[in-house]
Amino acid sequence: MNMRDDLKAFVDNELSEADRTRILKELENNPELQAEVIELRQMSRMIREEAWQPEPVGLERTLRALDGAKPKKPWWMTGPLQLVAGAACVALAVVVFFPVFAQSKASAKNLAFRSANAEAAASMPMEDANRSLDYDAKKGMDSQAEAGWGGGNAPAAGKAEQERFGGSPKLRQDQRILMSPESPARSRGGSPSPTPGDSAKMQERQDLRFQPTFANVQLEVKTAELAIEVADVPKGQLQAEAIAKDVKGRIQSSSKQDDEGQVASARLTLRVPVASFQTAVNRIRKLGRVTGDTLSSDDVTVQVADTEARLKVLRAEENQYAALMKSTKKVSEVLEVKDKLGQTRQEIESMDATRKALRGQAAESTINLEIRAKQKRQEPVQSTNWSNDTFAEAVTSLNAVGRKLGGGAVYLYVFAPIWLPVALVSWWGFRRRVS
Amino acid sequence: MQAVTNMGNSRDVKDIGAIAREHYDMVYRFCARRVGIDAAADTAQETFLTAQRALANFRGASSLSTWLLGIANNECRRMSRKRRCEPPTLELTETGSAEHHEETIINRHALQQALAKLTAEHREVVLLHEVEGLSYEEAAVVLGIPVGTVKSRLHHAFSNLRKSLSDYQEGVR
Repeated sequence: MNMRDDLKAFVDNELSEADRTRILKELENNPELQAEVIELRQMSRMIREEAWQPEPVGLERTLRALDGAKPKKPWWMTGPLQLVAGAACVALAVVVFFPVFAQSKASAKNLAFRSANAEAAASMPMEDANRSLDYDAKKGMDSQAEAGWGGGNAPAAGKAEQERFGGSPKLRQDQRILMSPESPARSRGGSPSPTPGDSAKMQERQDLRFQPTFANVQLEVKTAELAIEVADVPKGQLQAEAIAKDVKGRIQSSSKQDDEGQVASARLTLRVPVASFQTAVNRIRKLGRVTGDTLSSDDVTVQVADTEARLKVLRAEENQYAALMKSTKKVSEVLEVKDKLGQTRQEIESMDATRKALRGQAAESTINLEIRAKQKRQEPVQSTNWSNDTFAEAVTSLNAVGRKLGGGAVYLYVFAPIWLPVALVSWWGFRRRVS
Repeated sequence: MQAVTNMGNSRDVKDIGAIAREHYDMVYRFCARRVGIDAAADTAQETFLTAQRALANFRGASSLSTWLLGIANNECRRMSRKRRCEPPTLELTETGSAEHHEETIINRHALQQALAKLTAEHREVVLLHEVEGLSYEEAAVVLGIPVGTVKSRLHHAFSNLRKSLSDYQEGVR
């Protein structure tokens, strides 16, 4: 490094000890360098001592400004923007948390509904409890989220009864007579002392009351939609049928479609036991290349539980109508009871059929299988008219871009009530900050 | 510096007042030399208002005066851009001491002219080091440049001053 480059730093005492010693040695034998150092020192001293020293003014004004100035908030946290930011935060919180809150509330109501059913069953008279269980279960299935359910008191059970029997006072009275464990004569004013027969009926109803409304075992109707490609369709069909038989299932339907003398595709509907459903599906998947695979499951537990509960109540009613038939003497009353008995038996048969159908569906799962022959892939033909193709592609792309832009403009227009005020307020804040 | 040392972590508006009382003269003179006396008070005030906002971020890595001069330097640049004017030249007092006149071999008038010919970058380092009395390292912090650059600029600035003085003396002869 040139010695002269460090002379100014040497004069200012900003050099390291080694560099300083080096320059001092050089200075001893170099008068020209000595003169330069003296000149630098004099220039430095003259500038330092004779520099213009302006008289300071404005300290008080600065102090007042400092006292008056509070720590400045960011522009987006001042004035109306603060309100907008607060409102936006609240709206965001509502949007984010309301679904969670609503979901937890519905779960809590569902739980309360179930526990209230149990309480009502324990506190109500037998008949009311049975009816309420039946009715509440049905109502609960339809709308579990409805508030105020439970029927944990007698008026609620009475109301449920009124709705169940269609609101007819006459019919309600008849039903009360029929459902009562007492004889008609006693119910009109006799003492309610139970007989041994009544005790047996009460025990039966007690058992019925504590029967769980919801079955513990989950009943699901499982369905698989499979599509596979195989080299030989008839062979694939035979293999699929063999799989169904292996897992103790059955072939519900089978169809073939021919194309120029060759079997092009086959459709099979297989019914297999629930326990073997997954095994059968996995084995069928290995028959060829899977081109479609959909598994679905429909939970029928609630429907079965509802049907079975209603069935039990109807059978109890049937027994009581039958007992009443024996004790009734008047022809008009016999006809009326017979009519009711017939209606009840019809309902029982319908319910029983529904229950069996549901249980049957749940006991077996369905596999809808489509087997297709493998098709040779055709190589795409290279177009010779490339310029026209390119032009057509470009037009299509332009059309797509235009649609996207148009769609974006429509969205902007529709959402203008949301973003436009925010943008205007932000612009106003920005201008205010700049000014 | 004392004001900040005593403040600890609770720096507030009252503290910036104490800092302003202690350092206002230095900041004002620096601003007057950089942007002229007309805009000096406004620039100094802006410097302390900026310092008030940024005081919570001051960690004491440099001395308080260096930190303030750094802010003042930025405010002076902003003020110069706003006023769209060239920064004034580095001026010497009209009447220097007689003692210096006798001792020095340098003509004061010639030095004033030589200072006027310095570029803005060279003038900045000369002002900070020679007039404000900052070390190379402190001047580097204020200007936001490496220490080596300060050293280099000072060397070239004084080389130019010497050349200007030499030309002046030859012209007189």
